[in-house]
Amino acid sequence: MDYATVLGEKLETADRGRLFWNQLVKRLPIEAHDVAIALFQRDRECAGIVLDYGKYLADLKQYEKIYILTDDPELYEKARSEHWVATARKCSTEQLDQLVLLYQLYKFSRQLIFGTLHNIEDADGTFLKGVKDISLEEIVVTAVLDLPFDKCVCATSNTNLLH
Amino acid sequence: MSTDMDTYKKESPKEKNIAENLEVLIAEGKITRDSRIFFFGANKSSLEMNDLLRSRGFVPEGFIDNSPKKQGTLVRGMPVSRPEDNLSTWNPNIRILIASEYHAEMCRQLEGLGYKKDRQAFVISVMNNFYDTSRTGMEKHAASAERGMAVYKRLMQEETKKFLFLCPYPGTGDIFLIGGYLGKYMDRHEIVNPLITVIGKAGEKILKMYGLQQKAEIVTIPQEDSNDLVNFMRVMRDVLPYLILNDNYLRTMHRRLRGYKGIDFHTMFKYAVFRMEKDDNIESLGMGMSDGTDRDSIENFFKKEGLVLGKTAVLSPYANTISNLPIEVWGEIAKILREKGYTVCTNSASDGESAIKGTKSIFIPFPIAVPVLERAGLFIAMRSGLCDIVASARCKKIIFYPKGYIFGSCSTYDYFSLNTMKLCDDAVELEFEAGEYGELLKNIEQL
Repeated sequence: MDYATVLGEKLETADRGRLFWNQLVKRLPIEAHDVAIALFQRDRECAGIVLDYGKYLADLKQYEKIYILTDDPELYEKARSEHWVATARKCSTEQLDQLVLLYQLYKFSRQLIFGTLHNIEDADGTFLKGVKDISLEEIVVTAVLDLPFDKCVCATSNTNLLH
Repeated sequence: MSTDMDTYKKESPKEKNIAENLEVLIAEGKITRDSRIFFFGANKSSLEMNDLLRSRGFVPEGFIDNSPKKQGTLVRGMPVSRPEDNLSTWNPNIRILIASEYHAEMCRQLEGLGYKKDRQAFVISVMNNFYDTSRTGMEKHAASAERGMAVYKRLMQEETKKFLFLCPYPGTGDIFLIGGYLGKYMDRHEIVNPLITVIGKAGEKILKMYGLQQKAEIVTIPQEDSNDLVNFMRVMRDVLPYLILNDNYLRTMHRRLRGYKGIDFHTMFKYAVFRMEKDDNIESLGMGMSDGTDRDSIENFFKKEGLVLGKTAVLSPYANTISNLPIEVWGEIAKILREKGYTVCTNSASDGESAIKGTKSIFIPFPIAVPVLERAGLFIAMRSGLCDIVASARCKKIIFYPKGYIFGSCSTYDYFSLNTMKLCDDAVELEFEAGEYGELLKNIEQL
C-alpha cells in the first residue's frame, strides 16, 4: 500500500471538512455560545435520542442556539419541528464524513457534537448498554450530550414533553 | 497604544493565545489585582501565564499540582503544592488558571473543592493544538499524522495489514487491564501475530507477565512517536486494522461515562475498550504463591533485603494519577508499624520515590510482587497501578484514596476501588480528607 498517497487523500478530505466547518460557522452563524450537532442516517438510534434530549442543552448548558446538521431527511424534518433547534441543515453524508475525518485528526471545535458513539472515538460506549442496568439513552445523554441524565429524566416526568 | 500584552503577542502563537485568553479575563474583571491567583499544573504554559500576569502587575501566589514529584518544590520562587493544601479552605478571591490538556479532570477536581469553572477556575486555551481551524492549525496535526506514518512504516516494515494495538497511555493500571483482556480479544477476532506498542519498559513487562509475547510482537516506543502514530491510525481508520487501547485518549465523550452509575475503571476497559460481554472475565496473572512461584527465589529476596517473612510491611506511598498522603503521615504510619514489630520498607520504583523516614528502600519487580507481598504479610499503599497488579495477593492490603471527585460523576474511590473493580474482595480501602488523617492512623493502630 502506498501509505503516503492514501494519507494525502485523507488529509485532503479532512481539509474539505475544515473548509465546510468554517463555512458553517460563518453562514449559520455559529457564535460563541452556540453549538451544532451532527446526526447520521447510519446511526438513527442515537440520533433519535439526541433529538429527544437535545432541548436540555439549552436548559442545562445554556447554549443560545442549537443547530442540527444531518444527512437524513427524516431526522431533518424531525429536527425542524423541535422548538429548541434554531436551524436544521441538510448535509451530504460525504460532508459529515469530512467533519468526522477532521475530528480524527484533531479536536477542532468545542462547538460541534457528533451525535453517535460508533466510529468516532477509540472506545465504543454503546457496549456499556445493559451494564449496571444502563440504557442506551443514558449513555447517549451522558457521553454525547454531556448532560446529567437524572435531571433530564426529572424534567421529562414533570412536563411530559419528551417521547 | 503599545502594551506589555502587545509585546507578548509577538512571541509565539501559543503565547499569543494565552495572552488573548488572559486579556479577556482581565477585561471582564474575572481576575483582578486582589485575586489570589494559582496555576494548576507547574508546566510551561503556567510559567508563561505567570510571566505575563506579573508584567501586568498581578502577583500570583503559586502553583498547585497533582504530581508528588513537583509538590514541595519551588518554581520561579513560588511553591508548588497539592490542590488541597491551598484550596481546602474556600476563599471567594481565589482564582485558578489552567492551561493543560487535562483541564476537564482538573476542573472536576476543583469542583470537589468548591471552585466552579468559569467563576473561580478558568481554562486558558493554548489554541495552537486544538480549536484552530485555520489551514496552519490543521497542518500541525497533519504533520503529526505524517510522522506517525513514518513510525508505522518503520514498525511494520514490509508487512501490510498486520493488526496494530496501541497502548498510548503508560499507566500501570491501564496496562494491567489491557493485558487481562487482550489475549481474549485477539482470540475472539482471530487476530494472529499482531504488533503491540507500549510506552516504557514497565508496560512491556506487564504485558509479558500475561505471556502476550507468545502471541504478539511487543514494541516499546517513545510517547511522542506513539502520539503521532495515534494520529496516523485514526485518520487511516477505515484502511488499516488497529485498536487504540484506551477509553478516551485525548478525546472527551467516553470520559463523561466514568463513574456514571458505578462504571469503574475495569468496567470501562472491559466493555467500552475491549467490547467484551458480561461473562468474559479478566485473565488472571496467576503469580500467587500457590501458582508455582519459586519459593526459594522469594525467600532469597527477603534475605537479600533483610526483610522478615510474615512480619514485613511494604509501603507504597507514590501514585501518579491521584494526589498523595503527605510524607509526614507516611512517617507516622511507619512509626506505628515499627512499634508493632513490623519491618517496614518503602517500595521505590524510581529515584524520585524516596524511602519514607525510618524505612528501608526496596524495589519489588512486578513479576514477583504478589508472592513477595504474600510472604511479607502487609501492604499499605496509595491507590496506584501497582495496586491492580498485587490485588490478588493473599495478604492484608490497605489502600488509601483521597476524597473528592476526580473523574466524571464519581470519586477516586468509586472509580478505582479494587473491590468494586472485582480485582479482589479483601482490600481494606480507606478514603481520607486532606488535612484529616486521624481515621487512617487509627486504622493502622488497630492492625
